[in-house]
Amino acid sequence: MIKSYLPLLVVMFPLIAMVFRPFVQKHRLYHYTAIVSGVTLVLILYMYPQILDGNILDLTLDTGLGFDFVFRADLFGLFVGIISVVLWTLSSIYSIEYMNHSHSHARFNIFSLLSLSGMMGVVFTGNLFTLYIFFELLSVASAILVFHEETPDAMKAGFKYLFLGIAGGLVLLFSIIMTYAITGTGDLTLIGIGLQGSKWLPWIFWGYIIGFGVKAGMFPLHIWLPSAHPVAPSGASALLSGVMIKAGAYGIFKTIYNIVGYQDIVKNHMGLLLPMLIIGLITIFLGSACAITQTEIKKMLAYSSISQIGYVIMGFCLLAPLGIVGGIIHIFAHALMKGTLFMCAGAFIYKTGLRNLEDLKGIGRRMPWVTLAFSICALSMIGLPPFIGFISKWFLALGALETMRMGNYWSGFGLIALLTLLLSSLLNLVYYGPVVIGAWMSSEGESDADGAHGAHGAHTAHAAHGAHHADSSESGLKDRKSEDPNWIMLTPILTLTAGVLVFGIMPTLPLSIARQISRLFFP
Amino acid sequence: MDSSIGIGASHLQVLIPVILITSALIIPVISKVSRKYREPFILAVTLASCLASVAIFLKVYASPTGYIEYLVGYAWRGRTLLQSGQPIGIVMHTDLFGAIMLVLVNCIGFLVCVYSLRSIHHEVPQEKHTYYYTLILLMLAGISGIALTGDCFNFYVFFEIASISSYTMVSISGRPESLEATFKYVLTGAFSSILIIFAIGLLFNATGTLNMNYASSQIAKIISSQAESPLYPYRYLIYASLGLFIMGFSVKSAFFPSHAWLADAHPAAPSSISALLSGLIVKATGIFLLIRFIFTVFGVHKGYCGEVLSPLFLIISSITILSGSLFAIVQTQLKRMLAYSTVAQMGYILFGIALITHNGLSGSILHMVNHAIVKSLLFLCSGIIIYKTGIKDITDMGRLGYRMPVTMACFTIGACSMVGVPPLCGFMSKWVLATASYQAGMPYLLIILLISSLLNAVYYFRVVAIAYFGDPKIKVETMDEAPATMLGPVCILALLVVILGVLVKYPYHSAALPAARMLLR
Repeated sequence: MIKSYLPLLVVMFPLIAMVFRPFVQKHRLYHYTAIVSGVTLVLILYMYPQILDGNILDLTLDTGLGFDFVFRADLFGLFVGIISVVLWTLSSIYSIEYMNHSHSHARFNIFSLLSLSGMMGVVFTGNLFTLYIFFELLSVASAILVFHEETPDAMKAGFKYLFLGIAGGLVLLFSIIMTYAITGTGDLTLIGIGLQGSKWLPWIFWGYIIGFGVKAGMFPLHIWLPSAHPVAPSGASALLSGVMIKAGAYGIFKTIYNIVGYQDIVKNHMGLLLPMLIIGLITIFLGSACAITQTEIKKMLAYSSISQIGYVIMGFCLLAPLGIVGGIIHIFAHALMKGTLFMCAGAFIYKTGLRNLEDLKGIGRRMPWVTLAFSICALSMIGLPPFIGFISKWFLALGALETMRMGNYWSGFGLIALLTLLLSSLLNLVYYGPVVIGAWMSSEGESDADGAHGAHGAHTAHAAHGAHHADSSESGLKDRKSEDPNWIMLTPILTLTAGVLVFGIMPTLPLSIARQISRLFFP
Repeated sequence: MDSSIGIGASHLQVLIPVILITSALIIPVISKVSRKYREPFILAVTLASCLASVAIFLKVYASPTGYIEYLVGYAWRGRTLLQSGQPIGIVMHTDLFGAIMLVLVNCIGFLVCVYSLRSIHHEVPQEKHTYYYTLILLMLAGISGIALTGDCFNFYVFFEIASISSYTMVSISGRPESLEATFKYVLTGAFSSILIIFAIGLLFNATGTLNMNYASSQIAKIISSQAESPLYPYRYLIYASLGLFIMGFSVKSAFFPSHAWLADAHPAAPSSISALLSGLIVKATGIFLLIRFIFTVFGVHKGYCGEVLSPLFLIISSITILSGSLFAIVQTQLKRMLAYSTVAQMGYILFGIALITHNGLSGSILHMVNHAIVKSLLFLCSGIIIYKTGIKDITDMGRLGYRMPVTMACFTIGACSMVGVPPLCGFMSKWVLATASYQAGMPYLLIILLISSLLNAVYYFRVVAIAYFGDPKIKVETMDEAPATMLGPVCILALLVVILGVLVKYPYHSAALPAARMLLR
């Protein structure tokens, strides 16, 4: 372990930057956020070589109440951190254009930076106490992003998010206090924190799972997610779905592998992991099933996120090295895919005001680049090669097979997991397929011939959305030239799509990191 | 200094209450002579007492015995002990616990005086400003005296000074509802005073002294005496006295069945006074003295009375915490909500006492300090809101966060600390209480703390959310902040909330924990 101020700096940098926000010109706020996240990324990458060598960077500040502030960077934290900051930077660039017609820019940027700091704190910390602090910061600050539109829907969703987040946080706090009281430490890099043999362990375990599960959107604690993610501005939705629910998944991983520990689970606590695995499978299935019934694009994406976080949880609960690899790669893959999908959905809404899946037919002709990106990521979601979504599902499937071989569970569960994966891929196909096909297939000729339908669609859009949207939509129909958003919005979308493609073909980098992480827990 | 006047004695121990009381009496004269010297005089006096109390704290902290003692009147009487070794006369006995309270009182008192310079023009009739300042100084003198004193007689005098000045302060605005609230407050206050004076009588009867330390050693002798000893029957007097003290201070601390007066009295007073009442008076005349008597004087510990008091206190504190929070949720007026929240927080402090462990007690002391700061902050913020906009109802506060950004930012910090958002100070003291409850073998009590935190979140975040996202009642988009003399104290308190949270190890290890170790031997 090497003493280094870098983890602290990474966590504090967005906070420090926030203080200087008043000196930023009003129309440069989103640029500022993007630059701050970019610099944070550079700071993280600066730690990368040292950590890849297997070092851990650490800074301990004593509080004197029996717990410390510990800022620590290890490989898993760094991995999630890099993904988060990359998505953050791109989403901030995207918001420069997207938030044009919005309001309260200063508030949005302040809380975006606060959330960034919270997210960095969650992944670059070495003990439970510090983790809790930044976990709460993330909950509260990101709630403001949900509130942002200030419509009654947004207010309702925001309150739901805030109170569930706080309630979950308090359950988490219960477990953390108990952990400290029993073991006297909250060190998160230990494997098996010292709760072995305590009669409170099941309580503590479920406390952690509930606390992190609320954030992750795990069944049955997911109820806030389908209402909160769609109402946020699309740049924020991308972050909420792509990054912030991963804080919960990260916590669940830490609970299983660091706080309880693989050895102890296998020996004494399979009774805890089995329900977790089942919950993971239910989450996958339920998210997909609900997504099929949705008519609104962002709501569908939100339900899809629930399903995808189910994959991650399942991967972690398989108790197999390849399961961990699959889960970790899926964190990475889902961040890229869902980030892009939400940004694309935002681009549709921004340019045409269309939210309903019904109305998005033929959008491929009007916004080819955005629709292309959307299609690639949707195919990747379904799990088709050569996209990154395929890689993660492949490793999850391998993990399921490995579980059957390892024999921690009744081997039927491996099979069930495998079948759920396949079934869910099918369900993904059911809800992503028609959107993609519809976007490209229903040609302009058809839409002209089916004039009544087209007009109807346009009318509902006009009725539902603001005047500027209606104008752009109408002019678009007249000119019939590309309506793709300008490069500021397009760059982040295309960059992420390129990531989906490139890492799908050459998954060596994330794969080697994921393997290195899993090797820590399965020596 | 001549050591014979007491152990590590400092003349400041006597001077603080004396100067405050004298100044309180001089103020009417000054305002008769020239009105313009009145405010500077107040500020000078409170600032001086603030500095003096810090000096006393440092002296106590550096003292090897952990306390400093001033024997009043030694210089002219020449002796302070009877032949039997029993001390006579007035004693100022300040230990770390008292010194913490003293610093807290005088610093918050000073800030409230600065705040009052402008705020009273709005909330107190013009002709009563002089009385207002007189009463505020009397109140500070009373609380400082309570924190400094070492004998029961003196304590009772200061207790009454603080109580009576606070009754008067509630009614100072002269509105009918504040008169009604005052009436309620005076009746319950008088009831508790009767219980306490009776308890002091019993204590004197049993031990033959009013000196707290000497009484404490006498009580230990009586309690440990065998059945055939002549001292043995006195133990029943001791138990009766302890019971009466606890009942008296419980009324003053607004524990569950006797909390009704607080919810009327605190909102009815001018906001600056509400801050003093909720932040200081409830603590100094209630829970501070409860701790002082049950631990310093009666020496309660696990083996003696602890087995009865601990479950009793736990039940009362649990009900107080939950009922205070539940009542706060249904309130529509901001100040009433804050008052009920005070009830809940007093429950937390009692919770730490009930554990009868060092950690629990240190958690209580820490929470007492934190709550004093945070609740003063919140009441002062609500005062600024009333001063600038006249808004009293929570539902009318829509978009206030844009109109008064600094005030609402400070309010939000306070609210977060109340809810227990780390790393603010409210979280730290709750953490200490929570770990203490586990270490005392009662981890299920954690759940009460957590449920109450959730309830706190419900009512505090509702206010914050309305202030930033709600629909405005009056549409004012421009910034409209209060004058600097009102914002300054609020900002300092908000800063303290953050600093005491992040740097909690200094107040905890150098003040709260040693104080708890001295109280609970």
